[in-house]
Amino acid sequence: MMMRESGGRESNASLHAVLPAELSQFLNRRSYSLLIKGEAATGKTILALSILKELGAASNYLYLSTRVSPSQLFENHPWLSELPHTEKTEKSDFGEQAEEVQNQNRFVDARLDEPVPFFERITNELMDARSPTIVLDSWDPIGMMMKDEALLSNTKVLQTWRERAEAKIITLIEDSDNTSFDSLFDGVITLDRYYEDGRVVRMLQLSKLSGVKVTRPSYLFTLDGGIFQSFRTQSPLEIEAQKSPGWSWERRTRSTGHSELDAILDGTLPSGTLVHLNVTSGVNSGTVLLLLSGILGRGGPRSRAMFFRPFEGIGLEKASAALGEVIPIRQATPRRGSNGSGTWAESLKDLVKRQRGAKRGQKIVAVVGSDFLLNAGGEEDREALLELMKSEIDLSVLVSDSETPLESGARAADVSLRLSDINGTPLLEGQLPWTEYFVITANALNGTLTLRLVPMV
Amino acid sequence: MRILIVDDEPDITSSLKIGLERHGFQVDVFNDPKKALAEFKPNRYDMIFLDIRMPQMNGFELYRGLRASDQNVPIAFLTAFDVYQNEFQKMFPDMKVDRLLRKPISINELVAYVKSQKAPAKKVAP
Repeated sequence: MMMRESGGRESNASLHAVLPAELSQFLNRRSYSLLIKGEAATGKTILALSILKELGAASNYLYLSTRVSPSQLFENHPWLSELPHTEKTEKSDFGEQAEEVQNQNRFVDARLDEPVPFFERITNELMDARSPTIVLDSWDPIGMMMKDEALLSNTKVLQTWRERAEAKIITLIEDSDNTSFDSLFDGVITLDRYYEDGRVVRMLQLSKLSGVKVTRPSYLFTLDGGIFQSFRTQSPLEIEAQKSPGWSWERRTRSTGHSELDAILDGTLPSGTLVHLNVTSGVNSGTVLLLLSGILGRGGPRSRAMFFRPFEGIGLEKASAALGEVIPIRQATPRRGSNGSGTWAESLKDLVKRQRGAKRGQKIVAVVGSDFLLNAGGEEDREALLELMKSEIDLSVLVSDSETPLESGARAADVSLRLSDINGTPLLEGQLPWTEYFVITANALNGTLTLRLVPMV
Repeated sequence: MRILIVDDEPDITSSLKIGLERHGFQVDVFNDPKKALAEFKPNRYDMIFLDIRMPQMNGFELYRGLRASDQNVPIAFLTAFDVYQNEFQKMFPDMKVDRLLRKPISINELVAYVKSQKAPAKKVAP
């Protein structure tokens, strides 16, 4: 069995589940029982189906669906038709709870099952099939029809039969708070979904995986594309090991749903765009540079001049290593009668003028921190500086941190982004325009760092 | 003694039929469980063997259908794995199954089992 811990996708047909490394290791066991908990719409079914997909041809499976019909599952997840040996029957006779497929690997409509026939279906498989994978989606409708003692007893018996048949049983349950079955299962994982500022956050908790050392108990994940994809922590060392220009955005096959983000990924932001990037505390500077390199795109010193003003955690050396050659913005000598304010604007204006004169057609970009704007002087000076950036510079990125929110910068920006971190996973969100969370992933393949923005949906 | 065997695998039913008939039993076999149920006549058989995992209708469903017609005939399931009787009874307390026989099973073992089922009946019978 091949489990992917990371990887890209180019089309729906080549979608792969991305499971946490510990869970992949657990699923490689010959026999196990896994309990997947989570309230409605947390992704239990997609996780179970994604596991089946990743188990691949080696799996001999039975999927008992007590909540939706197999037809609905196939309609919701067209990639199910790629599962080995599944054949959708032409007619689906709901009244007789017909089986969706006729051969050994099959999806069964168990919505009208009483407990006894439901257990019979499971025991059929366990008594007569070698190493099957049985998915019970979900346990709740059956559990509600049984007394607690009988349910517990039957669960115990199933575990002994499961061991003899060297089977894998994956049970889904909506009642996340119910821990009475936890001790009977080899693995227990919980899926959670909550909102932050109206944005969906999905989290997987590895509560228990017998025989596997769980180094990271929780992972962010997405259900984008109708398949389960978890995110691993981005290693700053891994990111820093990649020298510019050894990175690229992954080739997109569809829009992000937001034209400004599409333009960033395609490098087609219109000239004079001012991007405000707010970085929350705890975000690694390597991640900031990674995103900046993604926003600013590639370009050699001949085709592009990049003006840079060091800011929190990122000096000239780091910036040039990640972004290529940069031209530092130095403070000009204050004019007589001036209180010093406005010199940044003048300094930048001079630099731009000189650069434009020296190399016509060269793209001018600028990356500055919030102090650049805050120290520019009064409100009028700040406005002048912002105006200059929008009129004279092709693409400007103004970086601020959570401690120095830059209201004037945010107001003037054409695009306002926020870079944050949950559980070691970098997240980008659009504040102008409003977007959902996007996880930034960076995968090193053949010496090239491939960046992706994956929506958390 | 008349025996009914229902298994979707023709190779299994034919080999069991030949083997049991050599030992003097009368054997009817079906590879289609629905047909077996449709043609079932109560009080005709002394012993029934059912496969569990069959298309169209599984062994449990067939069991229920047969039991509805004949409450007394001993019925044994054929299973690929060791399943202990007491655990089976915990799971299905209302199911009167006389034995769970592990596949593959040799003719001699099957004959010995059938004879063991037959023996008590002789003692009871006048």
